[in-house]
Parts: sequence; C-alpha cells; structure tokens
Amino acid sequence: MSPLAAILAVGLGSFALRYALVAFGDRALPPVLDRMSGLVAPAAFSAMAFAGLLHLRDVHDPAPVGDQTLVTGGVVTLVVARRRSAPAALAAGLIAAAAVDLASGGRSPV
Amino acid sequence: MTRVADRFIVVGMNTSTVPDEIRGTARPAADGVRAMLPWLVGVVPLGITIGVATAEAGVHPVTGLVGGLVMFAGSAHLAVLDGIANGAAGAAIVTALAINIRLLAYGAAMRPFWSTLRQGRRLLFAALLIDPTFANGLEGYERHGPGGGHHHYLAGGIVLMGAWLASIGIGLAAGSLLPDLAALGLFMPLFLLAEVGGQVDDRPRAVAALVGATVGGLAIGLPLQVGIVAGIAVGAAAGAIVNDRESS
Repeated sequence: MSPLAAILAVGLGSFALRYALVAFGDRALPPVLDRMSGLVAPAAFSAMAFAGLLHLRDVHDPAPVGDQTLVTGGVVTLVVARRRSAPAALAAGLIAAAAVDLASGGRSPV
Repeated sequence: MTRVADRFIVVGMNTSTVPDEIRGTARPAADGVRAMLPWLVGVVPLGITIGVATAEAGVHPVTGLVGGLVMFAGSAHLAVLDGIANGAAGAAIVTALAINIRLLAYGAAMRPFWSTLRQGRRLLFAALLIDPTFANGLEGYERHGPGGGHHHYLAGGIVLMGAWLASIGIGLAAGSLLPDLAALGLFMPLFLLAEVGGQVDDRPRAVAALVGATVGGLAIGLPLQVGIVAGIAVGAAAGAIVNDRESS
C-alpha cells in the first residue's frame, strides 16, 4: 500500500468518526449517549492529561521515586481546583516543573 | 478584527447602529483566535516532530502535508508514519483509527450546537474537530451562545489548521537542524489538565473528570490508546449516573 493511500484511508476514517454523530443533526440520539455527551469534555481532557503525564514519566523518568512530572500534575490539579483558571494553572505547572527540575539537578524533562 | 466594532464605540456612535453581522462576528472570532494561541505552544512542536518523521519515513513532502490536512490528528499521524516506515501500513491504519475513536465522542458532544447548521458548514466544522478545537468550541458556545460560538470555533479551527500545516512544513524543510523538542511534551498534558478546570463546575462533571483521569491513568499500558477511550467512556458514564441521581 502506498503512503498516500494509507494517509487518505486514515483521513477518511477519521472524518467518518468526527462526522458520524454530528450527521444525526437534531434527531434524537439514544438516551444513554445523549446523557453522556455533555460529560465527554471533562472525562476526555482529564484522561488524556493523566495518561500524558504518566507517559512522560515512563519516557523520561522511569524511576518509581522522584516523580517530577506527577508533582507538576499535582500542582496544576490544586490550582485548577482552587482558582478555576486555566492560564493560572498552566503557569503554576510550568513554574513547578522548572522548580522541581532545578531541585533535582536537571534530571527531569523540563 | 475586534477593532472594527470597537471603532464605532470610540467615535461615539451608538453601537446599536453597528450591523449585526459585524458586531456578531468580529468579537467571537477574535476570542476564538486568542483562546487558541496557548494551544499552539504544545501543537507546533508536535507538528514539527511529524514533519521530521515524515521526511525520515521517506514520504513525499506533499503527501505529508496532505496527511496533516486530512488526518488533522497528531498521534494518529505519527502511528501512520511509523507503520509506513516499517512496511506495515495496513496495521497502521487500524491503529490510527483506534487512536482517533475519541473523535466519535467529541462529535456527540458538539452535535447539539451544530444541529441547525447547513450541511456544508457541518462538514467543515466536523473536519476541524480535534482536542484543541473541541475545548475551544465548548468555551465559545458557553461564552457567546450558538451564533457567536460558531465564529469562535471556526476562527480557532482555522488558526490551528494553519499552524499545524506550517509546523509540519517546518519539520519537513528543516528536519534534523531543529533542536530536540521533547521537553515541550509536558506542555500539552498540563494544558489539558488546566482546561479541565474550566469544565468542572458541578458534581457530575467533577466525577466524570476524576473517573476519566483514574481510568485513563490506570489503563495507560493498554495498546492503541485504549486507556484514553476507556477513560472517556467510563468517566462520562459515571458523571451521567451522578447526574441522574441528582435529578431524581
């Protein structure tokens, strides 16, 4: 299979996934899906964020102790819970990552 | 774009005389662009990485850019390039689509906002649907309502697509001359985590976020990013159960 054919196949399939439920328009979805759809965003972002942080830990810091990425994630979670501000949480996370990096002598990924 | 509307106010003109088309479009579109900019700090390095991987896989640059346009999804794109480089394109297609299955859930969530759009616009909006535009769109509909929300979403989506293709192009052109951008990998999960803060404003959403994070984290070892899909499904279901209990 040529690279272009593979890329187009994934592009077409991805578009089908994007559009499949949008195509329903204002027709009713199954009630279960309808109730869940409004909760997709918090579930998806938190799942991807934690999976991403854990993945970075695996790649950059496989040791079970001194887990700098999770410390950073904890700081962001705290700021999110208290301030409800994405920019503030992000700034705190990046500062925490840099601080932990300094404290660990530059062994962490940031 | 906001300056067009603002100028009427500066010169003392009654804003009610500003055509709805200008007033209703410029501010949400500018907001959509502004809200998308922080995402680019995480997205651009990923695009550059994909450009470099495209060159290394021996894929023609035009094909690489077409891939960026039609797939518009970083992890799936990397999976396809990996498959092409290893002579396993068929398996890579399955992998990439499994990674992208979360887009089905995003479509379900955006459907109520897009149900009144014309078919052509619905197709365009769906083509731009990916994690940053999903978050940006939800924020836009919450802030501006359906009309302004469309402009917010579309403007942010166009900026993201432009930056995405440009960064892939940079990776293709500059390749190994570029520094290692792996350290910026931390930015995207942190930003997603910060975005959760804007989403969690009641118990069902808090439960959805907590359960989604737990399942997504516990199942990280599973292939094809199944853990993330499971986190979305189980998290949203848990939130729905809490919502049902609170309503009854």
